[in-house]
Amino acid sequence: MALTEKEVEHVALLARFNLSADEKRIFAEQLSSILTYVDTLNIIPTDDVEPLTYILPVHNVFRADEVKPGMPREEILANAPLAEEGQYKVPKIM
Amino acid sequence: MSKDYQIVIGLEVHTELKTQTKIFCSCSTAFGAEPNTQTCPVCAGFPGVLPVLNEKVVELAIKTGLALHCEIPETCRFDRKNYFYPDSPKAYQISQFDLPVCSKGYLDIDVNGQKNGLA
Amino acid sequence: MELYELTVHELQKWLAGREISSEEIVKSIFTRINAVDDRVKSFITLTEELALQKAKKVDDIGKYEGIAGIPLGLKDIFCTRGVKTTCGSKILADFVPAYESTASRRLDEAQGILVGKLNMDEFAMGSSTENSAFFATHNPWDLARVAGGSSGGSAAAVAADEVPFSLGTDSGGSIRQPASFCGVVGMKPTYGRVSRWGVVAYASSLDQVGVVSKDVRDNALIMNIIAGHDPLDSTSAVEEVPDFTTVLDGNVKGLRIGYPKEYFRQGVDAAIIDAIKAALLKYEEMGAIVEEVSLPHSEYALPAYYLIAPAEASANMARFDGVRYGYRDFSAENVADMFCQSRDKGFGDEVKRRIMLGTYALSSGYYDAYYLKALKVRRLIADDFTRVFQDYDIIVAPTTPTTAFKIGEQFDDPLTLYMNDILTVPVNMAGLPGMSIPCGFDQGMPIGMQLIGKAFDEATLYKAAYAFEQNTGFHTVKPTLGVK
Repeated sequence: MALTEKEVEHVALLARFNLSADEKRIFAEQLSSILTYVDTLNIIPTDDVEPLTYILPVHNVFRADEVKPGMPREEILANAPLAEEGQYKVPKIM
Repeated sequence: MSKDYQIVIGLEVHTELKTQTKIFCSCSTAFGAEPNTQTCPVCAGFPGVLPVLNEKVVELAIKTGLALHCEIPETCRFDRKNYFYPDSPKAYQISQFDLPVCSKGYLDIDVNGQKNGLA
Repeated sequence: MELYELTVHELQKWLAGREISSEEIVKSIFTRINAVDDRVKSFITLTEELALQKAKKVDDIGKYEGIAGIPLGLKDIFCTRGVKTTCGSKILADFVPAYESTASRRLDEAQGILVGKLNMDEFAMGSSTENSAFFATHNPWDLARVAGGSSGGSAAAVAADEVPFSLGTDSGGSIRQPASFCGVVGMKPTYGRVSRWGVVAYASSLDQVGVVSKDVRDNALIMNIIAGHDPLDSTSAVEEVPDFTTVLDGNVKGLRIGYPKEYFRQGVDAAIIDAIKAALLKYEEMGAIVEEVSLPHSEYALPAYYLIAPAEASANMARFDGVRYGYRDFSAENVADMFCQSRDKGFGDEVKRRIMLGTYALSSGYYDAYYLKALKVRRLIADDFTRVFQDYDIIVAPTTPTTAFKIGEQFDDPLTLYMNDILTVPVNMAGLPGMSIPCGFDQGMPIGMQLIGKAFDEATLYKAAYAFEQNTGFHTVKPTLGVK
């Protein structure tokens, strides 16, 4: 399955990466060869097979609606690249 | 010509559930506190954290669903809705996609004495 | 004999007998680290001061139970309160968590002593630890070769006697493969056996915490401490944790062992096949019943894994956006650029590759053909194991197709590197426990034997592994590193 550079561009945008022209080319090649490899899965008939999403047969794992102390603000903000007035600061949206 | 057209209006209604704690962590939902004083590594989306579902949320969601004449399935599940935004700590929302907790409901409302259905 | 050469159970005896102090052990460990780590390069961060402080505290209290006073290392994927946690990535190069992973907290509460954080492939993506953003870890048996990955530091440090034991994580073989390459014992328990809280997520349905140790007894006694239900992890199992050390009796009479023919085919080195066949003969000598079995969908496990893991990783890696922690590119003038530039500069190539692969597999139009298809194949792989385990107690196979390769040898072709996991990945796909123990050498490089068990039956694996180990002694052979 060959991936074009345009498709790599699209995927890179979804994943929020800035790829250089060289990177787009190299990743397109590498991803294409990986996708060709995984295409072997198409040999196997799976029409009547249930997907395996959960390893453990657990369900309804809940927590009681009881308040527990969170983390003090200084600790929550301690790793912030930029914080101001107790909030995370980021560049403008537009 | 205008008689051939029917107005269809979609309403996406966000309602805050009346729980003591957040949906996936035990932080308080009390209104009015200073920013980031009711947070923890889970709701702040730190590396390595995991969500644990608040049972009151499920209870209230089903209650709401029943009040709106919804079908409540045997099994429902959560999915990740991926999008990047500064206020989206994990860059995905733990949401429900194809197996929601309630669906196919309706609400009848009164407009000037006439009953209209909101499906 | 130096203190740093001892196993956990040997150190326990000496401490309980008051023949040594925890401080002496920690000092011996750091002497060893200072002597060899410039060549092995297992550690990203060392915590010598904190370690000595804790050792003194343990000595003052003077109660030596369990692992009190015994040093350990943690793969740098475990969040450690107040101690830098990088995941081998530039994007977390300065990240200091204010919370502790459950697994490391249990070791800490048992008075174990953290010595440092161990090198790894970036965000657990890799099979050689060459994908670490900082440096590669070298194999103590041949410093020109890789230690394996992604828990390369965890395995190399134990092999080089830099720590008596370490914790790693395994999502596709990342404990078993480096353990095999470095000639040590590596156990990945059943999915859900050990809490994933505080362990930075790579592939949520595959990740599992495990133990790397010098011998089987050590592995079992550490597993006792870290295993068990955690309310903070909804995927953690409620199964009771037996005392894994009670099965270490050396008796495997009547044990039914299946060896899957698909794991002994072309692509696995002849020397490795010979070593495993010799091991199977040994098991027969010890009274086990050994028969060939088949896991017909084995060859599809790797391609399915390379759709499922990257898909899950692409979502797990999205939180690294430069907003609340981690690297932010301040030259960006708006938020969109900040996301793209920070992630582009912060992540290495393999991480980007897997994120893009995963994003593609989940994107609309491709979700059914790729991700969903892979999940269906996963079911078939798990069913293969279920069928075999109806008639057999454990499965024995090689851990890796080759012994440790040279640093740089496979680095340029991602697919070649992926092939290293071909024998370990099926176990994660089925969520079963898997272990690697030393079983021989090929031209001086260790060979690992893989034991796979039924869900939550780590006990039988430990039993079988212990019997083999005690009857052969491969675990007592040490790499010399040119030092001594």
